Amino acid sequence: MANNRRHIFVPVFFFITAAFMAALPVAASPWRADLSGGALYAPSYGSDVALLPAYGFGIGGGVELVTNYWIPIRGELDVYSIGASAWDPTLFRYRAFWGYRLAAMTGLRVPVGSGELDFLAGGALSASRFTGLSVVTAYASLVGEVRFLYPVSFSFLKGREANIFATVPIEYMFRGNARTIAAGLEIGLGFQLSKGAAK
Amino acid sequence: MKGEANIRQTSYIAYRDAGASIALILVLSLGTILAGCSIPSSGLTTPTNRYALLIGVQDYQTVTPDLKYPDDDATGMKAMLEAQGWTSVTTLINSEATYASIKTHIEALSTDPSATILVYYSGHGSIDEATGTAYILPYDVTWPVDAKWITPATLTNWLAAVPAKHRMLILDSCYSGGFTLGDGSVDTAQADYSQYNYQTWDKTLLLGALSKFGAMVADNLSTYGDHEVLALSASGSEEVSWEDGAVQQGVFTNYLLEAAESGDVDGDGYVTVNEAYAYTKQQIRKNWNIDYAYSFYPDEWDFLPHISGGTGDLVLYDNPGP
Repeated sequence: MANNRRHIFVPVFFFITAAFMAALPVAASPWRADLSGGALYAPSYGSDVALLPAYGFGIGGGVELVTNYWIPIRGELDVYSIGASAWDPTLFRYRAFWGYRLAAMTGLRVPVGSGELDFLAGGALSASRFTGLSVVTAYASLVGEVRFLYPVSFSFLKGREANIFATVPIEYMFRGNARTIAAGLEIGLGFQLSKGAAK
Repeated sequence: MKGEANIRQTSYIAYRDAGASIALILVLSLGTILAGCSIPSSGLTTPTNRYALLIGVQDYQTVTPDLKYPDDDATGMKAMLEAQGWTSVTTLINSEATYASIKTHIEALSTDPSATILVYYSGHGSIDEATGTAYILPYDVTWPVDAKWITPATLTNWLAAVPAKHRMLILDSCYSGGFTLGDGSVDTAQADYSQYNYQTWDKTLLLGALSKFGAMVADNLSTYGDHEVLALSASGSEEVSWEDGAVQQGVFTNYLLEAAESGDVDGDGYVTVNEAYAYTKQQIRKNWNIDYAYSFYPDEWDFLPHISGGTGDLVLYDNPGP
């Protein structure tokens, strides 16, 4: 059973993260990075199974390019875990699962007071494992985020702009015989990778 | 004044930072707790449309050697499922379990599209090493392989054709892990545990799973609405399963029956197929692979159950003991 605790995608996680971070210093445009985490409500349904509630959480990080009113590209890597669903009256439920998700999004950036409101949408690929089992799977999903950022400053960032933010993420997962809709509330911290603000 | 302003600003940022950190911790904690909780099962009643077909073949028409305990496996499962609230449990023992009879009885298992059906088999299994195709053997097969050897594709098609909402398949036979593959997923457990180091994962299996990433995504995009079969097997697709004279049953079936009393891991009053898998795997590893078989032929008799992919789990026993 010890084998079940081994996260087989950890090397992939680190490889992708390292590759992404290594590419960042060459970017000439203003980039931001962030870390966030939060709770998820993630019900699933099937062609003959009604919506069955489940709950979970996710933590992750993102890197994005910022222009005046656009976020042309945002990359996001998350680790998430969704618990087993509620029971169907036929004594059926959806299995618990956890995994890694790599998402690419684009969207609008709307100034609101001294903060900003972002509307992002895109797609994602996930490598997932059924919790407690040795069975792994991979699936695609549509993702979206509504996010409010508020600027802060931290002395250790040496003049780089920073922000705290709250996000409402929404994801629609194509999981074989199931469709899962995940929505939740995440809170995070972000900072600019290069000095100078995006106006 | 400037110093005071800096101190105030620093304090303000510190408070705000602390507030954000506390909020993050609270949200994460809530999510972690929620993900770990079982959603209560109160208010559920035992369905009246769960139908099982149990097959046990030990005395074959021509194939040798015969087995000793598949009839005990099937009758033991029948008593247990009836005690656990299954609506109807039919057995096919030895000469009753011909190819034609198995097919006919599966087709007749249910006429109710909202039913749950279970097919259980204990008997000989085999594998075509060239193609990797697994088989279970009805009473009237001949050796070597003939048209009556039942493949995963054949059995899955039979089960899919039955009007039902949920389908379960449990196999106590050699190489039965060949019946748990597919469903847009990859099993990263060894197909042959006699070569398995319990403390490490296998690089080949990891790379194998990653190399099928695109295929899994494509499967998961295209299989919505298919009839999923939740399959549990006694052994991997490259290993044999064993009988045990001490308990006069298949090793796997013995612990599968025991799971009714001891397998309710989350304490919700139900033993699901996932939980039965976890329990049988734990017990076979501890009591058979490590304690018993190792004393005769280290590693060579090792085997462990496997389970299929797919998104769902089903209750096997819904009246667990104390």
